[in-house]
Amino acid sequence: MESWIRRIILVALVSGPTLSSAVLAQNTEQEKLLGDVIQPDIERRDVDESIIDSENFEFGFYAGVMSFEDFGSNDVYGLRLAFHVTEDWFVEANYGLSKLQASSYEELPGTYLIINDDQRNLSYYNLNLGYNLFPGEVYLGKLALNSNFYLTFGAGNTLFADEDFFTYNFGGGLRVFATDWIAIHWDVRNHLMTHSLFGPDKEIQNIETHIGLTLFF
Amino acid sequence: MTYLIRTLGAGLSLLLCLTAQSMAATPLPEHWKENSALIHTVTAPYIDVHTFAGRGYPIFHVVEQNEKFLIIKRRNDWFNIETIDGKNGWVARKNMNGTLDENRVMVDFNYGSWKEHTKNSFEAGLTVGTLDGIIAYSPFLAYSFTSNLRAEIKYTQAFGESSNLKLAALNLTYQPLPFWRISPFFRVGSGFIQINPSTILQPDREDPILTVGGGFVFYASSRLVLRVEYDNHTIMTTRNVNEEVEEWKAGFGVLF
Repeated sequence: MESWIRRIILVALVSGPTLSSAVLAQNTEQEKLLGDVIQPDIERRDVDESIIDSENFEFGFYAGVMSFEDFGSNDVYGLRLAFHVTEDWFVEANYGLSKLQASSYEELPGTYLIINDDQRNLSYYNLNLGYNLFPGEVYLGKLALNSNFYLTFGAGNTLFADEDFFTYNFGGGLRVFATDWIAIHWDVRNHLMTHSLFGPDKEIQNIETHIGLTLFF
Repeated sequence: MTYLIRTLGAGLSLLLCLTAQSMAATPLPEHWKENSALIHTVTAPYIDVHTFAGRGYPIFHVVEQNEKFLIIKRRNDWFNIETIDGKNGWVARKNMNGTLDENRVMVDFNYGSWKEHTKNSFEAGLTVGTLDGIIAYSPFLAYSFTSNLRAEIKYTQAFGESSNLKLAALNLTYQPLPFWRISPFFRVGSGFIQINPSTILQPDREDPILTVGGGFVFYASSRLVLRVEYDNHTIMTTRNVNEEVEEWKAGFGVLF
């Protein structure tokens, strides 16, 4: 008795044209629920990452001051290209230009210039490995900006006085993100090299600090 | 009769429930429809959404099971996503694993350990050390034909008191055990060495070289390797005796 009433109601529900879609939705809903419970061996597909825009490169410029031992503190301008390998590690290439002043020795009366004006133009390039040490946020008033404090170390060339000098460098910096693809940097680098312009070999340390702007692409 | 009432009641509540659900399902935004291939659905109970691309940045939101999100871009192993209610954040690659794509196929995001390194064919990097006892560094570029065999172009510059050396070489390396995390390799190659003495009394020289060497690579991740290597170069001089030069290096490489 009850079962046939139930059947009638069910038939009415199913055959109702306005309800058929609802029942279909219910079926897929049930399938999904079952799928979640059973988890059959579904075929997995490797993601096609080429359709996802990647932003691993960082390019920009910087300007600052480089203190060159014996030759004064001078303006320095440079370009930076970085590749972010993982969230922690990045590789960075820098190219910088500066101009040396006369050394104190050269300014003494009765002495001569060790290097001429052309040879005072300095350029350097280096390739560094960097590590993002403290990812976090910095606060500017009520604005929270994402930031990284990072360390870098690497090696390269310094060209001045018509000679190439092998140069190690290490340092650190703060990268503050204005948006997720525009960053402002503040960097300190120490460049270590040996020259013999004054006769005997002299190990010098040239500290550079600069502010830069980079874009991720 | 009670059965009838109960059944009717159940049917009614089901109906109400379904209409409520269809009302709640918000339509996809326009810019989602244009990028339907980048819409994924979460299968895990939930995934964390960070404010930026790194584990150190705070989690401010979660996307729940069966919710959809749109992938906008990628920064190394982090994916920038947008949720259906317009929140923008970053999800780690390991959490992207197992999401469903537009065809409801489960997607593997290759969340790999260092073992995935064989998927990259190129390596670029820098090694620093000594060549013939003087400081030298070498940028290099390599291409892997198989996981064992690869070709590399290496340029070495060395800075000595009496002379500067420049060395360019094309090498073949053989790595017998690429699936070891610290893996040995062997190298043979050939190139040219240019010697520029500091004094103007001696002329510059350029001689061909033959290289035999080897070393170890350490896979720090699937994209970053650290290397230690030794090369023995034989300089084919125009004089009667050939010179031998030793090169010790340590450095890093990026796989891509």
